[in-house]
Amino acid sequence: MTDPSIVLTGVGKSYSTTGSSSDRFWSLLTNKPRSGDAFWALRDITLTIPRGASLGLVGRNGAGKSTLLQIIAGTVKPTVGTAVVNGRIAPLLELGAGFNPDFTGWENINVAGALVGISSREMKRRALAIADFADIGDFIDRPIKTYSSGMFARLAFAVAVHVDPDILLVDEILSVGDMGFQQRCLSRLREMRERNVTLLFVSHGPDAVKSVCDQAVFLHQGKLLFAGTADETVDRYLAFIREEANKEQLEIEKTWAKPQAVRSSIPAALRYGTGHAQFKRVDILDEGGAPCRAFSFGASVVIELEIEGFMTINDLSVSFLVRDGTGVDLFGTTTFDEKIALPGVSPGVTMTVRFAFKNVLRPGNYGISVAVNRVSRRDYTDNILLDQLDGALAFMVTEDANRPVHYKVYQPIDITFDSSGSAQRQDIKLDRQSTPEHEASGT
Amino acid sequence: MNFQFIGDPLRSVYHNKDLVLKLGIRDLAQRFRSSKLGMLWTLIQPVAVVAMFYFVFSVVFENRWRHPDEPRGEFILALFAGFLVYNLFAEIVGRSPTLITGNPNYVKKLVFPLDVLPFVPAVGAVISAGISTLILLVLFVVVRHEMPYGTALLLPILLFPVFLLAIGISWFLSALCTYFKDVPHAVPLILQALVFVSPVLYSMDRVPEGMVRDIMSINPLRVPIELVRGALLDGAMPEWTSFNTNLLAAVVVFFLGYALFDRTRSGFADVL
Repeated sequence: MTDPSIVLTGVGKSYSTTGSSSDRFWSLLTNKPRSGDAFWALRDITLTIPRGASLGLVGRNGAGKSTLLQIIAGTVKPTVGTAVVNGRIAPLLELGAGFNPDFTGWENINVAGALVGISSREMKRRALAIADFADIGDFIDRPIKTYSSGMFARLAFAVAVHVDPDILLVDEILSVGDMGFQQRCLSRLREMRERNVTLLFVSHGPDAVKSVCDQAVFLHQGKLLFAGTADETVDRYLAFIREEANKEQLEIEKTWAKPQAVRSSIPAALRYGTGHAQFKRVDILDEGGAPCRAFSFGASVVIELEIEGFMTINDLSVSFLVRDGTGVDLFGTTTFDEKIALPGVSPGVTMTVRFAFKNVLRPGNYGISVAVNRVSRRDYTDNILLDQLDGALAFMVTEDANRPVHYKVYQPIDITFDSSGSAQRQDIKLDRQSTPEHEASGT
Repeated sequence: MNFQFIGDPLRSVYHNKDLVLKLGIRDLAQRFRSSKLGMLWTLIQPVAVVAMFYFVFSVVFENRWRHPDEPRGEFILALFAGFLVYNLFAEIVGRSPTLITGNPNYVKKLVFPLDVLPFVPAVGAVISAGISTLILLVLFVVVRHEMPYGTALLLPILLFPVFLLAIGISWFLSALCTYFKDVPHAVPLILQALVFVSPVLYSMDRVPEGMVRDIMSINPLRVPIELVRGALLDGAMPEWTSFNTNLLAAVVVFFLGYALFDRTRSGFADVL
């Protein structure tokens, strides 16, 4: 670890909302600040990004993510504060921004190289690797305007990662391209991280941020609300979005009382919701009902949740979600989706809900998030989040030499085979534990 | 006062010479890419323009360039020499309104050396000037039945101030057009007027002596046009004093244009 890659100190960027572009010109020419109302797209951002870090930027539209990238890239100057950047930046804020649609893939690769100052001879050598990575076949010889958006993205990404940047700024890429290509992008990004490339990644997809980045910052209305590990930040961001949705729904349904304070203290990474109904107790149990934290393959995992009401609420939906150690959401369900009518709660009345599933996970550590919602419409438009506990429970899956699970999740699979040597065809069902009915039930 | 702006533009262009050449050739190719005649248009365009003016001024108005009894081809040669200079200037400056406003990606989404943008259309303009020169030399042989003068070799030197002037004005106008939306409408008009107030369609001797001629002489295209015409058509050595004055003026415009561009470029992303 040498000197940090990017250091932002008190960075703010304001745009004049009333001044005209000619005012801007005169103020630049005479070096006098502008008058007029200022809109602060970014305010007081202080951030140090070490070399080789991968930082995700999350936030809603207009939160200032793109402005921040532009300031780091140097295309926009901060109004106040300083931005110091050490190293060569891949100059593509948006992939393929320098492409010309009338020219072929080859020609655009060539120009893109010149844009970052790679000599023609060197670029000729890399062009093959780029074409290889993009993998768009003969289209590389055709004008870019004939490309599908997926092919365009492939070529653009291929170019961006082959120009040896020290800092790579990526604004929303993984939304395009097929799965195979997305995988290749992700593994290329990881490979670049190993070579100490600093990565700044803007995405609206929380999962992409979690899987690519180790750190993340959460921007809201131009301010830095939270900075931490990618998992933590993304969860905060999602919590924030749900809280906002709650506020909107509570505005519509004015009969609801004021949000309730949290009554029980359950350790969790993050807890949020209106609190009109709350988790009183969350437990993870084995088949026999005893508390358990380690499970082997095929063992029953029971999640027992006790919910307490602070007002009369029907249409309750209780849900859980299993996450792996890297924060990727694996599976889970809601009682609402399973069309189970829960009895509801009222002040002083509690309800216990049990979810049970057979463990089909690969050995490792897992976390469980639980939530209780009020919802009656199938499209979730009247959803109110009452209580959510992220990382409420944790458990581990132990190695089982007799039954290895190589991939994230095992799924019961039928295997049949034919042999030309024998006349008869055999259907063989794998010897596996039968999957039980869902045991979630009321009371 | 710092004088950084004197070294900066030269360093930037030298550093990005590969990029400028590539973008310039791409720019030229793009203009003709989907056309059937392709690069032939760089040949057809100047010939057609000269033919039009020749028709109006020489055929309809029965003008001669110098003597009433000179061959008709003389008028064409003189027109061609004038347009050679004018076109080099106009092709660079004419593109200035869209250099920044037409490439918002370069401003906002790429880390791009914006100050080299005026040089991109200049690549094509210089190539067109070269092609026009070849046509002119062929016409010379056809009209005069003799070999071109050796002074024709001075052409690159004589055109150099025009190039500097055009780049300087292009910096100035491309920045101005980004902030003031009226300027792009004025630029083509001014360029068109410049054909008529420069000695492209006539020689300065035809302009009445006095105030009008004095004012018209200030036009920075006058000296290059007269010197190029002299070198190509009369085999005359340039008058170095007027060349030097013109060059000095062009250098001043070049650096002033850059200074204004550099001063205001940080606001481009805000107003696009």
